[in-house]
Amino acid sequence: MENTRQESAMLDAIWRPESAIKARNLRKSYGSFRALDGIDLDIPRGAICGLIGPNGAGKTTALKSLVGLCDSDGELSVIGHDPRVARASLMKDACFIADVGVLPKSLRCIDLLAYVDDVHSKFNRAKALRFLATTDIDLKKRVKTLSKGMVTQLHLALVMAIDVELLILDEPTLGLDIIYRQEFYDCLLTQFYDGSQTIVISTHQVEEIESLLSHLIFISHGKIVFSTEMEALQQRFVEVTVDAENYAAADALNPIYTRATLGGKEYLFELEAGERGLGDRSRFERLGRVSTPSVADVFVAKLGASHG
Amino acid sequence: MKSEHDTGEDMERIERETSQSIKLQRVLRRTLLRNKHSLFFATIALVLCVIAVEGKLTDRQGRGAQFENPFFDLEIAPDIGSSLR
Amino acid sequence: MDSLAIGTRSIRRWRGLLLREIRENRSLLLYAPCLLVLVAILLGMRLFTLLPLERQKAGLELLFNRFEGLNAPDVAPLLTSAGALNLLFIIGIATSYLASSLYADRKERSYFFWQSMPISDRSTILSKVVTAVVMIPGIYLGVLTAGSLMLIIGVAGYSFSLGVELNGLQELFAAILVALGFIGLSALVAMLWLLPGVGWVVLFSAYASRVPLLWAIGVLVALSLLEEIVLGSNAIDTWIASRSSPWQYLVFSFEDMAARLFSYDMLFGAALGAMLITGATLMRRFAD
Repeated sequence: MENTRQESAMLDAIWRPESAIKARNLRKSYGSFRALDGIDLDIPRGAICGLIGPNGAGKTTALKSLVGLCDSDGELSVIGHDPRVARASLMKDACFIADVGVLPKSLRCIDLLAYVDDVHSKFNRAKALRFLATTDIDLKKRVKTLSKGMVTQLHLALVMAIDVELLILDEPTLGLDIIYRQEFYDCLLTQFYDGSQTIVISTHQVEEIESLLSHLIFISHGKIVFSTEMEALQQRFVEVTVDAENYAAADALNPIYTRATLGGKEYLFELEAGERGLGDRSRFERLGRVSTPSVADVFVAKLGASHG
Repeated sequence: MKSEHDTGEDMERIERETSQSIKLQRVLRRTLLRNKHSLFFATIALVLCVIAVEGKLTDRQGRGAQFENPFFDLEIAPDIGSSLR
Repeated sequence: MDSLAIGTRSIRRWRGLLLREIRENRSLLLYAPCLLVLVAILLGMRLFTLLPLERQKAGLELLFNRFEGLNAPDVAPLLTSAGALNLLFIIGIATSYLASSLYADRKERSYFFWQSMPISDRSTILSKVVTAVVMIPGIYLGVLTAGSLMLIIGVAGYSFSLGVELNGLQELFAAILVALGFIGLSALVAMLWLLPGVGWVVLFSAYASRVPLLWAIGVLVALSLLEEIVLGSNAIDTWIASRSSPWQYLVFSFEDMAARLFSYDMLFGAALGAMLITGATLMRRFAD
């Protein structure tokens, strides 16, 4: 018991009090397969955090663990609750959208609204109806008659009308066309997020959400490969499109990733701690055209590095 | 009013019980609550054991319990072993 | 938050939970009882109208004459027993409902939506048990009452058109109403008596990855066989047999009902049901 108290004190010192999600050595196995292999998380309140990873990386398992939808081992605190023992309490202040198409198909839309209105004390029915009025959804119809995009709109309307501190989205736009996807993120930013909520999104379509994110976590094979704030990302990585005559010089600077393009080769460099934030990138500018890499490029580079 | 010594003893007892409760929870999570199969088999085993033990203790017979039925004179089971308890 | 507000919120939450069950299972909980009662009435009417007109008239005269002057509570038990088939329908509907209650939302993945609401697993499962034990019998009884009243009115109208004297109509009407009341009480007592069965089916609904009802029945049969072969005992068979007499499911008075509800067998069965329901509640954490 004494050790446990000491450990708790150490954890409290490490974890910031303003953290919305704190996890230490989070583990989850399905038989012999380790879906989560000792994950540490520290997501601050007010962050919009992207959880990026390939298929089977553990994104869905991680998010389900955060909302108590699957059991896990390790230390975990989500807006002050342990989701494994207090899921119902947690869900008073958190919402979860698990990809498209999880709304109950046999219910009518209006019945779904009535249900959430009855069971959720923080649900604002009028707000949900206002949002739904801007869509083509007929509330008297059953969910199974709606298109995928409309189901997402309905789910989003329900979620946005709940005054929550934390929103967790697991591939919320999977399978939707581009119009619905854009609308989804527009609504999320303009009608839901006011800076005080925390949003965690997992997605394959990194390019779509890059501009929304304040924090980034890469996950692969159940482990966190890389995590950073978006501002730090831009200072930490440099992408250079190198001309053929400078390949040798570029190789000498130890790039973390290279790929061939039509115009030449693209090199990705990770700057040392002392170099970040400094204006002088002349040694890179001598090699070719310098730009800020996309999250996708950094992700591919980091994933390749973690695989050795 | 409790003395500091008494309060200290109370705190130690609470810590001990909490620690035992946490240990019990950990044991349960590693055994019965390990996965849905272990939970399922444990539940069924427990219920069947209770049925078997109860049957032995009460000498349960395979005939229905007789309830007072003032409206009909039907004899469902002439030699009833159990009766309304 | 004061206790009145907490109480109001709790009532509202339970209203939402129970209405959800009815709305999600409209076909089984609302339409099936209507269809069953309608088909039974139509079948009865059709069979009756196959008789020659003189036999029909004679039968109706006999019916009304027999009921003339009779005391409804004295006659109601006969009608209650005649209506015992309705209990089978109620049990059938409840079993079908329970088997899909925790299985369907896993299969169609709406489990992830329901679990994103601030409702505990215990509340979710209790709402399904309450639906099976109270709501289904209540809804069925409502439909049966409406159907019975329409049937009496129809029979009275038809009898009048045949020139039959409606002397015992009032007593017949009263006896049917009292019988309906006893069928309702019997249904409630029967569902409470079947709490172990409710728990068993709910456990399999939470556990099985497909055809939960078949698994529930199959495993029970297999365990019974195994017990006999391996242990040479019959505890499971004996226990089931001791609770399977038809007269255990029918109630003919309030005293009868009170005696059943507080009997040892009822309380022991409820305890077993509670164990199984607790297992199903814990099983929800593995629903992914």
